[in-house]
Amino acid sequence: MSGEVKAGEDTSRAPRSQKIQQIPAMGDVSQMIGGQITVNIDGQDVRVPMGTTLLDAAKLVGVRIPTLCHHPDLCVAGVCRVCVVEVEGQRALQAACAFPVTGSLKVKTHTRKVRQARRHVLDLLLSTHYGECYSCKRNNNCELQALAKEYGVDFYRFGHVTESQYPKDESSYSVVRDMDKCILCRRCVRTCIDVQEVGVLEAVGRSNKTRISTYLDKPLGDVVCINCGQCINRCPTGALHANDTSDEVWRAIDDPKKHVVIQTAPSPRAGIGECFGLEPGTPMTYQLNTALKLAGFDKVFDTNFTADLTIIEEGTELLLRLYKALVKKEEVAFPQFTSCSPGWVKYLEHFYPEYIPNLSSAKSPQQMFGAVIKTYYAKLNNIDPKDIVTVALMPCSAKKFECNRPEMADSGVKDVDYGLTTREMAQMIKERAASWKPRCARSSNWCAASRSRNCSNTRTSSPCAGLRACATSSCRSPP
Amino acid sequence: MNPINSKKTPLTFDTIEPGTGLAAALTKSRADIIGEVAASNLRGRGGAGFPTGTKWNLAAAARVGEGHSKYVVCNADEGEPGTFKDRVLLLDYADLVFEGMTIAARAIGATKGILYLRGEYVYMRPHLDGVLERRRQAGLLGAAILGTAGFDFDIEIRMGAGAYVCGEETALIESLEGHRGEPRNRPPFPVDTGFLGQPTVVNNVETLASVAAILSKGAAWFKAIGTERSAGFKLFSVSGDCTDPGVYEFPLGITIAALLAKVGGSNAKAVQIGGASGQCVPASQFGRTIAFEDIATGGSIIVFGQGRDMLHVAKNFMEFFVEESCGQCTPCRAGNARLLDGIERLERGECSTTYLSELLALCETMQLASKCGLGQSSPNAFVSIVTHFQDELLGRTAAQAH
Amino acid sequence: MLVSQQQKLQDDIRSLVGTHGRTRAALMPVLQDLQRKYSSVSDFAMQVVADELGIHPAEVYGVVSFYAFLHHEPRGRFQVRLCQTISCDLASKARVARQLENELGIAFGQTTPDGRFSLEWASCLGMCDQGPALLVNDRVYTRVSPEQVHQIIEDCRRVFGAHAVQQVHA
Ligand SMILES: Cc1cc2nc3c(=O)[nH]c(=O)nc-3n(C[C@H](O)[C@H](O)[C@H](O)COP(=O)(O)O)c2cc1C
Ligand code: SF4
Ligand code: SF4
Ligand code: SF4
Ligand code: FES
Ligand code: FES
Repeated sequence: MSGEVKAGEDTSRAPRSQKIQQIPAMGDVSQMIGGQITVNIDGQDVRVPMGTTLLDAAKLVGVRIPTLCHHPDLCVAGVCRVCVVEVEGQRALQAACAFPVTGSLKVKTHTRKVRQARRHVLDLLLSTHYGECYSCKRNNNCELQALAKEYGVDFYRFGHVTESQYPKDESSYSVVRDMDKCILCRRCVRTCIDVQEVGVLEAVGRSNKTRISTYLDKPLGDVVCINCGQCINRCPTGALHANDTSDEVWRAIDDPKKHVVIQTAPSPRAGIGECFGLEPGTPMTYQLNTALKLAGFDKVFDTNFTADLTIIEEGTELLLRLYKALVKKEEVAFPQFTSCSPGWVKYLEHFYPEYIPNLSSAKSPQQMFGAVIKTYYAKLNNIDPKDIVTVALMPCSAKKFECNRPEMADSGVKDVDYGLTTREMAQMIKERAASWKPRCARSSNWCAASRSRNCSNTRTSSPCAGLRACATSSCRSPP
Repeated sequence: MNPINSKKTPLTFDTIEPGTGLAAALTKSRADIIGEVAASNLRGRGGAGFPTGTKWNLAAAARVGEGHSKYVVCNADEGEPGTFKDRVLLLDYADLVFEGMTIAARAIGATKGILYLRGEYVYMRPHLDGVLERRRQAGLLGAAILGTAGFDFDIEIRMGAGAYVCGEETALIESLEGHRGEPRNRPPFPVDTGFLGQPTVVNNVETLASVAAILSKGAAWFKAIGTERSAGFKLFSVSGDCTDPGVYEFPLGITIAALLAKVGGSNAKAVQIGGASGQCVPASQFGRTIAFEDIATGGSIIVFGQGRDMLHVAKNFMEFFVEESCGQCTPCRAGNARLLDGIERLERGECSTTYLSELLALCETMQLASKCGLGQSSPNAFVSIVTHFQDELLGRTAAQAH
Repeated sequence: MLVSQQQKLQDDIRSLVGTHGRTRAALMPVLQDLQRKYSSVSDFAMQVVADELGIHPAEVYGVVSFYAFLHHEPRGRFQVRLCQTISCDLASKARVARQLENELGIAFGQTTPDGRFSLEWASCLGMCDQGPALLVNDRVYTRVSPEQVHQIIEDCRRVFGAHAVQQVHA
């Protein structure tokens, strides 16, 4: 860890790119006719506060400007140049995402020059973009692909790489990096440095050798990545995706000797609807349980059960610590930290190792669940733990890493064998439950009927009752 | 001869008594100093030609953060191929350059100055450090300069590390701040959000030396030289196929032919004006003038003799840009590589006219949509060579390939 | 790396940070001084620098990999840089390049096995009126002809020799 910091020294890791974008305060804005400015975009006037970007101003009048490197969560980069627009009086085109309005402007968003520039930017990105859309995780969900379509890219104007330039980095249990598909928008870099403050990813090299990489180009599995997956969420292309173990899960499901048990965390149940065109946040607990059974899982459980166990364990530990500290007057680390997030835990281990003693020694609900299944449940049902495969459906890629931590196998077998994300599970459902899905995917309301309280019982103690109820009654309605 | 010295003609700077400019400046108010510079019509000598008075005015008006300072940065990154006049100025007229910085500091109210010296010029470091130390001893730097209460200013030298793009002012600032030399979005401009987020004036070495001369001899004197829109004298770095390469001074507005006659390059096939990012002018256009209103330049003149293969020249320029692009924005990162590709195709005689015009359209995109001046100007050489020497480029056979 | 060497490197970096300040703006001077003294900024050095300045090692690596004069892999004590840009090109830099390769027995981008010389291309060195131009560490050579190459390399071995060794062990 770094030495002592003297007063006045700047060691802040706050988003630097945001800092430099700062426009100094305008003085008393109220004195400046409300601090509002009129901008004319494609002939429409709009009044916006000083410093609004052209992109946001255009949005207000319903003019859509394409973007790639822009992301609402992140500070401005202005590097892809696909959002360029013509500003009257300026020779060069300006990046709408990075151009703050500070005076009255006239802007045109689709002149010949603008369209040519956008098309060229896409052509150039595609000239170094190796890989085919149909074999890509992000097929139909890729910002580059969508723009290529929008701008009518029907041939590779400036050629196309025919060979892979970068080996795929699959070293991490959580994140796969396929730099052949990277368009160097640096959304991941800004995420990892500015938002997560982990700082694993950075642009390395320069000019056409620039690449997104890690310290000394080490595999992601060997650096301080906390597996949070936030970079994946912000990558516009298939360059970053979760390390998908659904093939392994399928293999287990298809193996008659294996007893495959899945636990679902609360979040995917609320999130998975989005993958089927529903409003994010639509509760899907029962429908999901049905789908999981149909997909072939032998048992479906709710992680909430072991969330309770974790709390009990942690509470006990706290009492024990307090006892040691107050009664036995021993040296004990306080406060006691607990987190079910393996990303948070890894962050602490790497960046604040001095606080490791403060961490609760209780496993997370995911891991406790695995352990309970492989021990107590195995015994109860008289199944050899080696024949049980535990799968965890979780909202976060870090959970994949967690179940592979070497210490997470106290019973001699891995507590949890595979972690799946919501998106991967949606994919599995689409794949396996194809015959079932159409009946449920009535209009945009996937399995809407089952939202009635038919399948009320999803408690871990008797999960199947609920599932059966759901599968039989709710989803029966014909399309 | 010391390998570092260049042949040079007598310069106006020889006639400027060091110290007189600063002394004159200290008799004026801040606004009057800027007024004098503005009245001289001095435009930046680094290439872009932004009016120096205007730049200073903006910086003078900009607000500085609590506990911070404004900055004056002297851009001595001189990376443009074919440019070396700043080296001569720094070696022989360092006092004038530092004096110009001090005047700038006075004008905008800065207390800190930075000379950003390119890594390739590291051998100048001892000399420049010596000059700075001498100036400190003489009370020309430090607290209360020349006894002027409240006028504190000192200069620090910072080195570049081999990146042409760091000559771009915002990339330079990024580099000073310890980042990759990647240009920033503008606005905000350095005059209000520069080094460490503070108002910063970035000026070329020659601009600053000229400021010292202007303050010494008066705006009217300077303005009388050159043309209406391009006032003053300008240093030129001349290299390539001519008998007398070296540093020259000419008034702005000189024709190319006149310049070539002076440097022993009259028989040229073409001249590259403004370095790799400038344009290639064929003999038929030697009547054009070098001035902001016609062909603007930071002073690089590269002469190509009759026997030169222009495709080879274009290739060398594109190799330079493919090496030196910062790689941040798409048009420049990928565009330059595609242009170099195109040149290699031409070399092999495999480029259709259709593809060539496709590339020229790409050049337009790069000029319009690149994030900084590098990508906006890197296609210039390619465009001008393709335009003027097209019949030399097309239909090559293997025998011609290098 | 020996523990004692690591310790020394660490002390060096601490003292550099002391001189240049514990701020991100001090990064370039610190790296440049390290590069000068050790001919490269090693893996270990980058981590220590990152720690001292409170930034991420990946950021330091990003910076080192950006600048042509900073290297993270070991380089020769003499960094021989030949200008490849236009004016030197017109002045037949290609022949000088060939001869440099012959004399040193390495190609551009390589380092001699004895770790003494690295040969690389440079962009315009600002000596265009006197090309071909060559930069060996801090020293410039101008109007270099292929015949002079041998002498320049020999000069390095002798004249700079003591100096460079001093630098390394300073
Ligand atoms: C790629 C690029 C390289 C540049 N290199 C230099 C340089 O080496 N020296 C310089 O003075 N200006 C250079 N400039 C111009 C600077 O950005 C800036 O305009 C200049 O330093 C302003 O000073 P002036 O107004 O005194 O000319 C460069 C610009 C670009 C786009
Ligand atoms: S998963 Fe998180 S920590 Fe790892 S690289 Fe991505 S954003 Fe950074
Ligand atoms: S990996 Fe994805 S987010 Fe990161 S720069 Fe590449 S395309 Fe952008
Ligand atoms: S134009 Fe080139 S040098 Fe400038 S920001 Fe873009 S990539 Fe970097
Ligand atoms: S979206 Fe504006 S430059 Fe990338
Ligand atoms: S071109 Fe070689 S030194 Fe300038």
